[in-house]
Amino acid sequence: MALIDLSKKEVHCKVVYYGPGRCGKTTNLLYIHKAMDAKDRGKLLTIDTKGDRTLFFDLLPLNLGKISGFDIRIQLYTVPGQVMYEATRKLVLKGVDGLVYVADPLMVRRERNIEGLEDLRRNLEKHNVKLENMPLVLQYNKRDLCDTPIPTLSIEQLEQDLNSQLKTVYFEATATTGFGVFETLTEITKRTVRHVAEKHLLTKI
Amino acid sequence: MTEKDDLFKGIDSAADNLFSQYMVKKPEPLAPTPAAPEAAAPEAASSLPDFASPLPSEAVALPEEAPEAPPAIIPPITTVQELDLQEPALDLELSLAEPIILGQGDDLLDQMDEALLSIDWEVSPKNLAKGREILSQLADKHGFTPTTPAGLLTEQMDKVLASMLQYPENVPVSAPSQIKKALEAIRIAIAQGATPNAEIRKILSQALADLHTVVAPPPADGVTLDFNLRMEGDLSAVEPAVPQMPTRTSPMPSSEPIPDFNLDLSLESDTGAASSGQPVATDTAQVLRSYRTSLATAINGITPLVTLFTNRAGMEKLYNVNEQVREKLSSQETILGQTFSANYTIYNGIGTVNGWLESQLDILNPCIKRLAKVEALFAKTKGYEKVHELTRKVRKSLAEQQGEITRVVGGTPTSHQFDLTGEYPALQPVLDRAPEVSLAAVSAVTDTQRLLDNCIGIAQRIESGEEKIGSEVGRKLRESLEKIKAALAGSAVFSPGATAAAMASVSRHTKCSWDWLLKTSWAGQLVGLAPEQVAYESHSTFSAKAFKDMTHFPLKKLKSLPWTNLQNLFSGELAEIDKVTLNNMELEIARPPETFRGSPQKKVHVVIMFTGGKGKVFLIDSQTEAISIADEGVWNPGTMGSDIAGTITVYGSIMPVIAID
Repeated sequence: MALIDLSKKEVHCKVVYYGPGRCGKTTNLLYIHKAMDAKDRGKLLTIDTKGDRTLFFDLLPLNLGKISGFDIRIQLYTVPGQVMYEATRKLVLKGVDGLVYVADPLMVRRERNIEGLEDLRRNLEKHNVKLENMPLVLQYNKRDLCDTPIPTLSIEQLEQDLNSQLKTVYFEATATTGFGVFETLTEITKRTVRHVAEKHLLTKI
Repeated sequence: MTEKDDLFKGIDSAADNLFSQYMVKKPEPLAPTPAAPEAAAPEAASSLPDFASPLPSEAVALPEEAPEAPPAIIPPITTVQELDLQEPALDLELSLAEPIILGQGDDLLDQMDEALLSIDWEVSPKNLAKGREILSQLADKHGFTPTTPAGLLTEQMDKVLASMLQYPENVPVSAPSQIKKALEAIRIAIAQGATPNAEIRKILSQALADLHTVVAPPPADGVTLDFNLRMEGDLSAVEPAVPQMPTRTSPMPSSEPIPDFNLDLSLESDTGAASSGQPVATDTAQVLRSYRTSLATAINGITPLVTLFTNRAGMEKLYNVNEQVREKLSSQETILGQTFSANYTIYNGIGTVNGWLESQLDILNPCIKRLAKVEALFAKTKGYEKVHELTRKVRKSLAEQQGEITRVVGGTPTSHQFDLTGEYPALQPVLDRAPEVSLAAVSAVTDTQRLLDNCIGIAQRIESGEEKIGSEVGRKLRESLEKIKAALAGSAVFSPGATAAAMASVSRHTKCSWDWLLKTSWAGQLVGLAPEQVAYESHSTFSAKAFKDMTHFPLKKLKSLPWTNLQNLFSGELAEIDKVTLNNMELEIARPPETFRGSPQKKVHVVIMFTGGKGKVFLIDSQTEAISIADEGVWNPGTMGSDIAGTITVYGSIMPVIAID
């Protein structure tokens, strides 16, 4: 749930990057952290990693600046994607305001993509939130692999698997090079802040 | 344009202005010959981040082990040449003085790359078997023998893969990446030729040494079963249990440490989400030890079942159920080892020990349900007696641990949430409960019950003729009854009238109505303010002396200039009142209760709370800060007519909540 301080005129929104293991969630945050000016972002906090795997969560705070007199701050979180860390994912989802679902294009990961989305839906329901009511964008990552012999899913297949009911916007991305990373972030930021503003702020401004 | 349109336009342009400068174009498609991900040449544009490097220096990483740096001795790839695919890569004559040309076009190397990628993402028997097969083909094709460095390396790679298949629960996390590095070393060796030079031998030796450290060890108490069963029985009945949302009541906090309310956080500082070591109660530590042993035993028990049902047609569901349970238990075993000290006396995780234990119940409950279903199936399937017994033992052991953990956390929890907003730790839980009976009252009731039992016993013996009424019996009865009378006189439990009178004076906030509060200090006491009632908070301070003799505060004193519009300073209900009324309005200055014994401040902030047509001014010591409240814990409603709606009790620390309705 967004945190709103009327006296300080601050709004803090929480965006979580979700998806199966090794799909590129942390890579998104790493890229954002490296690319952005230090004045617009905070430190990238990584809790509990084993080498290159996220075992708990990553957190990257961003400052969107002033809108209608309110300081808008976005906190980007990732979750550990491996099946085993379900309890952690549920915890990190508490109070979420916006979601980026990062999908893996490898053919062998097709089921994991679908399971991951169902996992997200279930964990949100445990917090009494419906996935359909959340600002959500899809990111089809690792598009650079599509030009290799490795079997990958087409956009149409990904859309059919993941977006046939949600019907939300998707972005192609290659998080390692930055392609699509900020496009995804821009869209989820807009949707999340709009959602929070409409819900909490419009009567107070 | 409406206010909403304006706001949305502002949001969109803020996001575009901030992020559009960092957007990058889609890269050109890769050349047809694929490169391994780690071998990809860095982009010429230096403005793009370099993901070959480890985490940025500003990142605050809290690893248990240092992340592994890439081996510095492998030189970067600077040129790529087309190879004649008819000729084997071994014919290339290169030295390290020239750029290394990797064995492009060696299909087996690429297939091995792909297999290792699959293993890295999912350590499954299928992926491991495929990897071993390709490795064997690779060694055959290039004539690797155990007497050659490359041969030794492929042999060791095979050992690591085999150990991952045999003891998956003990696989070091870095195993897949080490095997990949070993493959890169082999790729370089293949490109070098039949006789690797000293530098290449060094690369191979290093890779070999690293691989020796990631062989998965066998479990301490290995369990092996000889399975030779035919498939019988109705396997369609086995469905993975869908974990249900647990509904639980939160327990009374036991002997947990008092959390720190000092929440001074900003975007630029570490959020400090990790705790720094909480002591664990002795009983809990014992339960954790037993739990760890039980997890290991369960994993060892389930592993043969996973192996049994792997790649068996029609057994996919049984494989899935056992594999999922094993995965969950394995991960919890790992996390248990990381979160607690070696002897389980210190908790290094986030939140509280009880919260962590409750999360284990979340894991155990569905695992036990799934195993119960599988056990029931095996029970009625001929030839599955051994498997049934094994599953039964595992389920029973986990159920015992479930019972122990439930006992330690104080009962079955009803709701379970952590606050991980990252900016501040949650207040400990707030639960809608009636005020608790004090320990003294509990022991008084226990003593009274004992005395009553005593009296009843005497009366029964007299009634049955066992005991005769005499002065001694009379004395015993009298003493017991006098003690009961004394206990009743001071106990609210046995004074329904007093209790009813007390309940009638309780404020209307019989339960905690807020998900978040504004935390501040008032006369030295930490308090929370009902956020929806806060109409104004001053950013600057005022001299406390100025308010010394004031009982009411004229709102016009907040004007910085004579023509300042007070409506613009306020929010909520107060902002709806017309300017003229506001200019003439005075609000009562709330005085802190006598129990707030902080030293008087010289400077104060002014907070105006306004709701239902009435308001008050509070002179607080510090600016407010938003804090969220989870929904476990203890709420005690305040007294009717008081500004204190109630208190939140957090492991003995009490925070009054101010609401003026």
